[in-house]
Amino acid sequence: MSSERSSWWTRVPGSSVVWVVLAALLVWFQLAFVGEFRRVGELYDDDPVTYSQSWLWRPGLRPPRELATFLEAAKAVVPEGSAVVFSCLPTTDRQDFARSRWAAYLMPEYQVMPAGRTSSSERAVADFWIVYRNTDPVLGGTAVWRHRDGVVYRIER
Amino acid sequence: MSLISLVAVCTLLGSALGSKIAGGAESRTFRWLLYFLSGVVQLHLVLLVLDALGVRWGPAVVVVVLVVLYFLVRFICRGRRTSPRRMAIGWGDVLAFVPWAGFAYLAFRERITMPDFVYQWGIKGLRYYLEGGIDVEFLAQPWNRWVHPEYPNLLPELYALTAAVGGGFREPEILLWSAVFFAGLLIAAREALGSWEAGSSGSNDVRHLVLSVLAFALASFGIGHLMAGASDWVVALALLASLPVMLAEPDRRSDRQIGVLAALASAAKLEGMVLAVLLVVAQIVRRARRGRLPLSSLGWITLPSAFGVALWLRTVWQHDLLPPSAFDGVDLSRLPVVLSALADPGPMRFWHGAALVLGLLPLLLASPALRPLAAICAGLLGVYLFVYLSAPVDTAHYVRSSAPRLVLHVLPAVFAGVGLLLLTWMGRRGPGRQVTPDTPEGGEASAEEIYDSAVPSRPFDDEFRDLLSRLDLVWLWSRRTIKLRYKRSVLGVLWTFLEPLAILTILTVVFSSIFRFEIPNYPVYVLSGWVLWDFFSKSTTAMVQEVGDGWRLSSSVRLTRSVFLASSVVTHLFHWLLALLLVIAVLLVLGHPITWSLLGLLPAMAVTAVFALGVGLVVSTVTAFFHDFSLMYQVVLTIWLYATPLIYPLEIVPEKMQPLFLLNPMTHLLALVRGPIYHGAVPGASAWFSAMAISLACFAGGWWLFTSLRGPLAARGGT
Repeated sequence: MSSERSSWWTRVPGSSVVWVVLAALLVWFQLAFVGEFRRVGELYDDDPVTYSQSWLWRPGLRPPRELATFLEAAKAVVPEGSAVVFSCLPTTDRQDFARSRWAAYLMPEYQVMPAGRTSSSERAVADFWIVYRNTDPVLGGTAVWRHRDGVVYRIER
Repeated sequence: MSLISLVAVCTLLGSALGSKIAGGAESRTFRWLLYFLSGVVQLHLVLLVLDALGVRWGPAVVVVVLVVLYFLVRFICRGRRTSPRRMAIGWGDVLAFVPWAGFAYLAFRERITMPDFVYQWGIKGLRYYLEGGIDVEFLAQPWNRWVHPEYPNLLPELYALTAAVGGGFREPEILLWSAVFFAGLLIAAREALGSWEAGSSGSNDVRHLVLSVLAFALASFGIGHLMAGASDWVVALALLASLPVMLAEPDRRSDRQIGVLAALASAAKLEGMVLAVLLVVAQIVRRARRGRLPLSSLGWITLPSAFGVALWLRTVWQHDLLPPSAFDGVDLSRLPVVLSALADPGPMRFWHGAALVLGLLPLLLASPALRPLAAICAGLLGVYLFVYLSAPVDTAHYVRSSAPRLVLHVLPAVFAGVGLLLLTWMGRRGPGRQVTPDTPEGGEASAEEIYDSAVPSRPFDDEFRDLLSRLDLVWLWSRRTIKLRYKRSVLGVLWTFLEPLAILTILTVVFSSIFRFEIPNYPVYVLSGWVLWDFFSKSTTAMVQEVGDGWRLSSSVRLTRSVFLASSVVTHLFHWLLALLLVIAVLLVLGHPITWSLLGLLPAMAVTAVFALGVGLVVSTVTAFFHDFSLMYQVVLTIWLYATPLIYPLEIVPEKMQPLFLLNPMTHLLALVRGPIYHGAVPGASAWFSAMAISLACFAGGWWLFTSLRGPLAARGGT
């Protein structure tokens, strides 16, 4: 065996090494891309994790669609431009906050304040309190509209 | 359709700047991108002015103002337009289109948006659409502090206008704005990589590969982290689009381009304002270093962003939109929390390891043309660290929730910069027209290097470039060393297996049977560390010998002396690869699980090689002056071996002494190697970051010592 044949690797130029490394990286990120592309589909709609964690909601998913349907119906009894307190499931503060932000996004014509992150003085300017999927009554409020998913209270002054 | 119309309007509006903002150096697509971005900036400034004047953004008002602005700017900026540079579409461009299209499809179809869109950008866009202008009353309400009322408003403005043109706020179309900015990122990366076109097919392939890898990495992150609707794309685009500008010689045209890009960054986000300041400062410094900085240039660089920021500040102060306390003083005790949150694989997992590219940021310093980019990226990351250390919030949650997005701001630019370094090396090797970072505007490289005594010597850079251009010699010298080692040996490469096997047996008997370490599968535990130590100790020791031999040779032939040191590392990397066969055999015999994580050894070996080269540079340089140091180094190696938790676990060290062991660089490198072999898992990001930082710092220090003493070393003949 000649020395040239026995040392094939010495003829590999450095540029080829760079090429191979980059090609490997390309394959790696292509696989990552395919994985993420597929995962989006898995998260869609009925995934229990997505459903329970409001900060994973995306427009078009079932949980925000249900909230939107409820709020759309509630708007009938709340005058446009009103200041509204929003509260929901008695779960974590983060859940409550996330759903309040969704409520604000879905009711852009209103001033929506999250019940858990506003002071009582801030809430004092609110005219209505919307409770979503929570049976706890709002103290000082009179229920003006009831729905299977929640209640709208008018706040008495 | 409303989105396409707005993109077209912005591009048309920006084209009015035409001859002022574009020269002949750009490709057609990058020129369009510049037009589009300058149109976006003009639109943003127009809306801010209308808002300041109390005029609502009615369609008729906006159209009239834009038409007047277009003709006014076109009249002011009249002049001859040069033809754009020709840049053919390659396979990398086509491949990069695939992940972009995937992201755009999911943004439109699945609305892959993160909470930030609903909580901030989207809701502001909705309110501005309904109000026909910036809804300051909404922003000023105390319960709306969560929407970040103090942020600049470019994105909500674009969303509101898209809704106004389309007759309704439709999320799929709104979210496609991110795809538009993502496309801009790819165009800017293509332009930057294309400006280094070397003419050889190999370097062109590398250019296409780098662009494709970047596209897939960004799309994976964008989809996984639900980045449609986020403003971070704009910040990343402003930085990356400035890269082709910074590669060229600073002139009036680049002043205008940087001015537009700084204005774009400052309009996008608070972080973008920091970027804008860095871009402006970098351009002023570049101009000042090349000579006089005309007042008109200073105006072009600073005024677009200053005008936008002034109008924004007016609104913020007038309506008291700033949060009560944004900073709490730098608290260094938060640093461990920040680092551990960064190391948390959870939030960073959507980068799929791409974020590690930021560890290569110091490499950009090797090219003078890339130093401004390196400085800007380092400055931006430094400000982010400052905010993490000073913001009065839950630091861990803050870092975990924001760090992946902040990485997006700098990663595309760093990635392109590293790609450019590769292309520089490839271009020097390739035939034909060669463009290097030092001659970015396309000067023909002369066949012969001409010595010019007026050009200051930069040994640090020159030696590095010489080494990169002589990698073929590294290869040949390594081959010669390996052949010499086994030429007269009966057992040949089997010695590579026998030596560690013998040591493994001795250590296993001594520590497992006599000292009775209770470590499962102790032979694997020891072997996983021994292969690392064997490589490090032998390669650094060999460098002392190689440098002597090599320098004797280089005294008669013109050779780059670092070639011999690098070849020592390559030679011992070859031995290490062979030793891995032994490792796999031992794993099989002992029934230790073999996982795919073993592939993680390859980058770990690369990091270790950089560290070994750094140490070897120091040792060989010092040995050239004090011969006794080579003998002393053997003593140091023995102490170092036992100070490294290689044959014993770190846990048996008293707790108060463990931090001292963490000061040992080999402890960090050991984690990278032992993880894949013994634990069957690739270590987390923090382990990689610390090992890479140590290795690069050691290499930079060693390189500096080696190159700064090059003259005296040559006089001594390396002995």
